[in-house]
Amino acid sequence: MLQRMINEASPGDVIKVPAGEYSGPIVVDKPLTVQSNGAATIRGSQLDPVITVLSEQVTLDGLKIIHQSPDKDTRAILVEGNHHNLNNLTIRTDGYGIVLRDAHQSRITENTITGNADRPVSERQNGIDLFGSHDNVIANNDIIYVHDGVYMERSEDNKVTQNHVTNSRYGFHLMFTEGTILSQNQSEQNVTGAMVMGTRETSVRDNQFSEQLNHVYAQGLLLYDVQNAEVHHNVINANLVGMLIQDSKENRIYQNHVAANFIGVQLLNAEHNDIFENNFVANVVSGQAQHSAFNRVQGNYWDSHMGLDLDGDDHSEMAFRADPFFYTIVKDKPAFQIFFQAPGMVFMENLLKSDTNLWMTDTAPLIEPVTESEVENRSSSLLFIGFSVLLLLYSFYFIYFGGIRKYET
Amino acid sequence: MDIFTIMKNEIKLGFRNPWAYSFLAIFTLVSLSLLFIQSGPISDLNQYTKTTGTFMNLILYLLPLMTLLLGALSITSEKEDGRWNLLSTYPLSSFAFIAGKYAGMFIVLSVIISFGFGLSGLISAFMGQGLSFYTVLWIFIFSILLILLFLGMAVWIGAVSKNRWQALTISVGIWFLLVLAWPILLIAGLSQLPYASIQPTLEILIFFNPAELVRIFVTLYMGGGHIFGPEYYQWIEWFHKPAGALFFMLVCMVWVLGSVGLTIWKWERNRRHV
Repeated sequence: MLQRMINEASPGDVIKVPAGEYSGPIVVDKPLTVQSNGAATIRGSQLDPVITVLSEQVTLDGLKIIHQSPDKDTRAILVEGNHHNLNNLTIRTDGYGIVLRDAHQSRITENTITGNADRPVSERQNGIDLFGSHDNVIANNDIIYVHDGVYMERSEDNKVTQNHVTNSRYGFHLMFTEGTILSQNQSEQNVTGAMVMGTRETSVRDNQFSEQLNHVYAQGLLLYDVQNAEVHHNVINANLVGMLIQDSKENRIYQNHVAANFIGVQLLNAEHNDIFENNFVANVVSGQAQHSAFNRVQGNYWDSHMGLDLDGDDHSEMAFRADPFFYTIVKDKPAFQIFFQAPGMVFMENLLKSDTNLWMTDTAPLIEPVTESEVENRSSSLLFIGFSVLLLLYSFYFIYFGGIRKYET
Repeated sequence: MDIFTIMKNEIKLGFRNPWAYSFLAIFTLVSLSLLFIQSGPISDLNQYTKTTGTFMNLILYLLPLMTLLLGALSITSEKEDGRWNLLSTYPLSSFAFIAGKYAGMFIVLSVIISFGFGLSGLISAFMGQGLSFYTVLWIFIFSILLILLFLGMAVWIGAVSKNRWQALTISVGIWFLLVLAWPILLIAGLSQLPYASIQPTLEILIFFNPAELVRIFVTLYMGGGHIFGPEYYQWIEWFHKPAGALFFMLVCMVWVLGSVGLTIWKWERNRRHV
């Protein structure tokens, strides 16, 4: 019935889909606007996509799509052609959510894509999947229970912004892309927040990658075989590994806030990268490097470092060296991590300093963390003074009346 | 009222003891070091940073040793100086004597740390250092808990030691074992066990070391539980629940009541045998 409405419409028409249930597969092959206020549900359970978008300038808005399939390699929506607009769709899929093939200059915005939570991650497919598709905007989508939230391969100059991915494998997965902008996205509780592989000229900024922990290879951000990426102003916290930079070179990584991860930053076969002005706070192991000489690690803030600034340039004259001692102990037996920062452990660490040349070294670490805005909490200061005075009064009272004054007999 | 009299007397003795003042000086020095390590509020959610961890470590090196020495020596000297021989001729119960001394020494020690925290807090406030109130409050609670638990152990050491030298040796030995050698001993010892049993064993052993017990739980309640890694996730989550917090308090109480109770029992037994 919906298909007949589409067939009968002329290019440029707006089809307001009445509330109700419709069954796919639907093919939109001319410039049309198909919209609903969310009350129209389109179901599909065949191998064909529930909705196929072809030609140009097709707008899908406010539809609800339910895609059921025993085969994971099926698609809820397939998009080809240019200048499409997919907005405010609610998609429940057993396979792919929205698939773009040679689709360019389209906008995929404000959609909700939910995969099948009952299936293991390997039996799901990607929320939004791009192949050979350029200049698209993917923004404000909410994606849950899929394989990879947003997957892009051999696609150029796409902008992925303000999306939220959770409970999936990778939040954002870039393969051999060029000029991708990944900004202001959120990824949490996935295996990896953003997996960036084989890309050129990628910008990863203002994202938040948190709580990627529940997997042996969990990371906030993974750069693998990446060149010329700019990674900055991201908040990377509570992951197993905050940033893993592997086989990558000439990337600039700066002003990120890397906190509360097991390993803050890990470098493997990485060379000629610039890592500067990042905050590394409350990570179990701040940094770790293997086969990664020749990186410029300078001017970061490491909270585990007790620096000394003699010439007042806000940089410590004492280099920061990330000690791998604790890492080597807990690597094989993570149960011993309960001794993290135990006084006896710190004592041993200082006794058994090995060859420090092999450690990750920041030659001029920052004395104070990099902060954009002053977050100092002055309101607590009065409370703090009051507490201090109270403690002093308490001690003076007992020292005087308890100790100094003579017995009153 | 006996318990109150003994307590007051213990406070008086405590503040006429030059040891108390030297500890007060050392502790104040340590807490002043808070001023020199940056601990600006980096995140509001998380009170635990490496800096607070380092500061907790400093306290862990110092405070248990201080508590054990002051506590154990005070009890042993009662025996060695013969004051207890005199007092025991009066109708003074062992319970009132030990409990009174425990309470008195707790006040002396809490005054020492309050002075340290209070003074360094005021100085830092006037120097315009933005220390977070809750961080300092937590570290104060941390110190108080350490005193409570280690003081229980101290009175017990005092009761079993024959003289001051023995009390000193046992105190330092126990401090070394529980604070410095603990992780290395356990890592060396438990590595022989099958892997699956390492973590449960560790989780149980935590409750037998007051230094670790207090360190781990205060870290946890300061929001730093993640530093112990994903292996301890469920464990940490459980202790974040009210039942978990209650359990922690219960364990602390068992420690205090158990060690003081054991001391009273031992004290009473010795009294009858004299």
